[in-house]
Amino acid sequence: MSIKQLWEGADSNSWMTRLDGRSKLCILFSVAILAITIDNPRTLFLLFSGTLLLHFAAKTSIYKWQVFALLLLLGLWGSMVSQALFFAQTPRTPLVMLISPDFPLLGTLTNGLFIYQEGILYGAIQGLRSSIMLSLGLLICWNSDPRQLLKALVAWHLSPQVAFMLVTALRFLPVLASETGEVITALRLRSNSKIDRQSTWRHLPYVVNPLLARCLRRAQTLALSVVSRGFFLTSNKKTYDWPQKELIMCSIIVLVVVLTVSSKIVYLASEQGYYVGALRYIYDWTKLYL
Amino acid sequence: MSTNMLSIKDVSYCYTGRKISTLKNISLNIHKQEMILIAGRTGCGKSTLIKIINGLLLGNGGGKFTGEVTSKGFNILTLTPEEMGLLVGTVYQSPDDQLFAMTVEDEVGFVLENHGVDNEIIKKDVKETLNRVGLSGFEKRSIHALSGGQRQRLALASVLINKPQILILDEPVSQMNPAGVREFLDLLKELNEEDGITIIVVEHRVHELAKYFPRLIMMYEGEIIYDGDINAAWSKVGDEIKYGLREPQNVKLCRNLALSNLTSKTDEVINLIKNECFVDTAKCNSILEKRERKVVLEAKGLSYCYPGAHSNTLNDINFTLYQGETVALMGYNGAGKSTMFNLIAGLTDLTAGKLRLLGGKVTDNAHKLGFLRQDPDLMLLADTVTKEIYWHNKNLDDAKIIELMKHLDLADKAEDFPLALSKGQRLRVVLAALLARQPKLLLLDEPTTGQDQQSLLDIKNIIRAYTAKEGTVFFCTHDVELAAEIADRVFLMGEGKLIAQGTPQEVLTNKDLLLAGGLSIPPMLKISEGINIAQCVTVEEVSRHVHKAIMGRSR
Repeated sequence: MSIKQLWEGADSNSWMTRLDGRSKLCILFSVAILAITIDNPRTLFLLFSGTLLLHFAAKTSIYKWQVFALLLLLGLWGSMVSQALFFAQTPRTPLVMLISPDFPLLGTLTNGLFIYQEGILYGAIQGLRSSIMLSLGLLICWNSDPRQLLKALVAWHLSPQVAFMLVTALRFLPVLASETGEVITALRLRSNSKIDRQSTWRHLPYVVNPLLARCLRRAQTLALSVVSRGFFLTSNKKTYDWPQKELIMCSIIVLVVVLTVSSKIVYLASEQGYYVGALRYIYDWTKLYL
Repeated sequence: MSTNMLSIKDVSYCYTGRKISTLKNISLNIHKQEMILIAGRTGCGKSTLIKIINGLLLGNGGGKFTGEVTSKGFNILTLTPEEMGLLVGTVYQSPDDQLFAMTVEDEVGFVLENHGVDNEIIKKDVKETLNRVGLSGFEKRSIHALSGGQRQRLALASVLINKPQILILDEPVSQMNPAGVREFLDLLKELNEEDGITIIVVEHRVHELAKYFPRLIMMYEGEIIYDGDINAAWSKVGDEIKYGLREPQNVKLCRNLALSNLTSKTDEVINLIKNECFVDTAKCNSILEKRERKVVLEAKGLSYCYPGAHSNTLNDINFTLYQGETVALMGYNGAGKSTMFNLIAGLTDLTAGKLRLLGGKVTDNAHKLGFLRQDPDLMLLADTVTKEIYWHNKNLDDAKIIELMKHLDLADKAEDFPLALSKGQRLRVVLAALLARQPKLLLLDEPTTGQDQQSLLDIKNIIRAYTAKEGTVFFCTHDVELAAEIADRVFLMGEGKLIAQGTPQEVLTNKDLLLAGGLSIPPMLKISEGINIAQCVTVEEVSRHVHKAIMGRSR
C-alpha cells in the first residue's frame, strides 16, 4: 500500500462508509466535547477504547493500523514524557531523579530534572484526549467520501462555499501525501552528492513551494469542475432524509453529551459554593467517573 | 451543421492586475455537431477562451470583459455558471484534479444530485452514461482504483450525464499512449455523430488529432489567427514557427517535396508523389555506424517486483547504453518504463539482476546522472531561475551558467519566479539545473508531454547539443515521430519485458511490434510502402528516395 492509498477512502462496502455524513460529524463533535469535558483517566481510556473498537468494526487495514499505532505512540508517549519531566504545578511527587540539583552546570541551571508522578498522569490525560480525536478523526477520514461530508455540512445550512473549502482539504489528503513523496524524490534527484541523494530529511524544508503551487492549481480546477456541475446551485437542491436509525443513535449520543456536560457544570458550581443537596448523587457520580 | 450553438462577438478579456488583454477581439461561431480543435502556443489564451465559452469568466471572473456571447439569440451573461453547465460541459486536463467523489457512480451522479433529480433516475442515467463511455460495470469501483485512461473516461462521463450540447476537453490525451489516444478520440467521434454533441478539444498534438477534427482554430497572443478547414491550415499557418502548429508528418513531407497540395491524408500524399515526383525504388539498407564507445549503463537480467505485488513489473531486462547516444524507451502506459528509470536513478532497489552505472554500483554513481521526472514542476523550489540553477550547485562556473542560460533561452528570465513561467520555460529551467551539473547520463521521463511545438523544438536541440558533447540521453516517450527523429536506438517495452531494441528503422517499421507496444504506425511507413521504397519512419528518409520531377515549382 502506498502513502497515497493510505489517505484514500475505503470502498463503499464498509458500514462506516455508508453512514450518513451527518451521523459521522455528529459522532465526531459529540466525542470531541466528551473528550474535553472528561478529566478522569479511566473514563477517557474507556472512550479511547471505544474508538479503537470502531476501527476494528470498520475493518481498518493492517497497514493503516501500523500508521495509526505510530501516530498514537508519538502523541501519547510524547505528551506523557514531556509532562512527566516539566510538570510545573504543585503538589508534585518526584519518582525518579534524572539530574541532581547539585550536578555541575546542568543541575544548577535546571534545579534538577525529575520525573513527576502527577506529570505522568496529567500527560496521560492530555495524551488520551488527543488520541481519542486522532483515532476518531482517522476513522472518519479513512471511511468518508468528501461528497458525503459536503452534503452533511450543506444540510446543516453551512454556506456551500465554506463547506466546499472545508471538505476540499480532505479530498486533497491522498494527493498531498503522494505529492509530498514525489517532491522529496524530485529534490533528491536535484542533489549532487551521494549523501543528499539518499537523504529524505535534508529536503523537507524545501517541499513547501512546489506543493503549495500544485495545491493552488489543483484546488482551482476542482472548484471550476464542481461549479460547472451545479454544486452551488441552491434552487433545485434536494433535502436528504437522515436515516431513522442513525437519527435515533445520534440523538442518544447528543443526550449523553448534554447530560455529561450538565453534570460537570453543576459539579464545578458546587466546588464554587453553589451546592444543592438534591444533586449529591450527581456530584458523586461526576467525581468518580468524569 | 448550420445551427448556431454559440456566438462570440468581439470578445476581449483582461485579467485583474494585467496590462495586456489575454483575449483580443475574439469572434467565432460554434455550430451544432461540430468537431473543433483549438491549438496554439502555451499562454496564447486558449484556457481563457474555454472559460469564456463555458461561462466561468463571464460576469464574475474578476477581470475586464467586453463583447458579447450569445446562445440561440440570448445573452449568456444572464445565465449562472451552473446553468451554463447544462449548455457546456468541460473536462479539464488532469482527471485527478476534478474528480470529487469516492466511487464511480457517485462521481457521475454528482451533477444530477445537485440539480435535485430523483435517485432512481440518477441510477438509470449513471448506468447509461457509464455504458456510453465504456465503463459499464465500474459503478461501485473506487475512483482511486481506476487507470489513468479510465479516470479520463470517468471525468468525461461525469460531465456527459448532464447532456451538455457543447463538450469542451482541455488537453484530454496529453498523457495517453497512441493506442489510448485512438480509443478516446473514437469515443468522442461517436458522441459527436450519434448524440449530436459539439466537441471542442484544446490540444498541442494537432498532428495526431487532425484526422478527427474538420475545423481548426489557431490562437496566437490572444487573437485567433486562423479559423477554418484544418486541411487548409497547413498552407496558411503551418510554416510559421512562431504560431507553434505541429503539422502531421504527411504535411511536412508535402512541404519538403514542394508538392502541389499540402494534405494530411496518406492516400492523397501517395498519389501526389506518384504524379509529381520521381521515386527511387532502389532499396538501400541503412548502415548503423559502429564505433568503439564507452559503456555508460549496463543492465543484466533486471527484474523488479513492487512490495506486495503478485507479479514482476520488470522481467529479465538486458541492455547497454553507450556514451554519446540517444535512446528512446517506448511502450504502453504502465509497461514499466518509469519503474526502469527509478531503478537506474537508484530510487528503488532491484529485485534481481545486475545494473552497472558509469562502471560502478548505482548507489555509488546515481548522483552523477540527471533525471527529469514526468512532472518537472515538482522539481522547482527556488524563488528565481538563477537560484534554481545554483541550488545544490554552488561550485559552478558562472560563465558556464550564463552560457547555459543563453543556450536554453532563459537569460532574460534570470530573476523570474520559476513556477510563474510558461510550461515550456519551466521545463527548460529544470533541464538547466540538471545540465549545470554536467551529468554523464540524462534520463528524461516523457519530456515533451503537453509541450507546444516551440518547446518541442527546444528540447530536441538541447538533446542534440548534449549528445554532441558525448552525453548520453535515455528518454521515455509515446511520440513515435520524436523517437524516429532524434533517437539512435529505440527500446520497446511490453508487459514488463523489453520486446525489441534496435535502430528506429528496425523497431518502428515493424507493425507487430508497434501494435504490441501500443504505438501508432508512423505515417511515413505507410507512405514508403505506398510508393514502394525502403521502409522509412522520418520525412528526411522518404525525401532521400523521392525527388521532384518537375523543376522550378515554387513552394
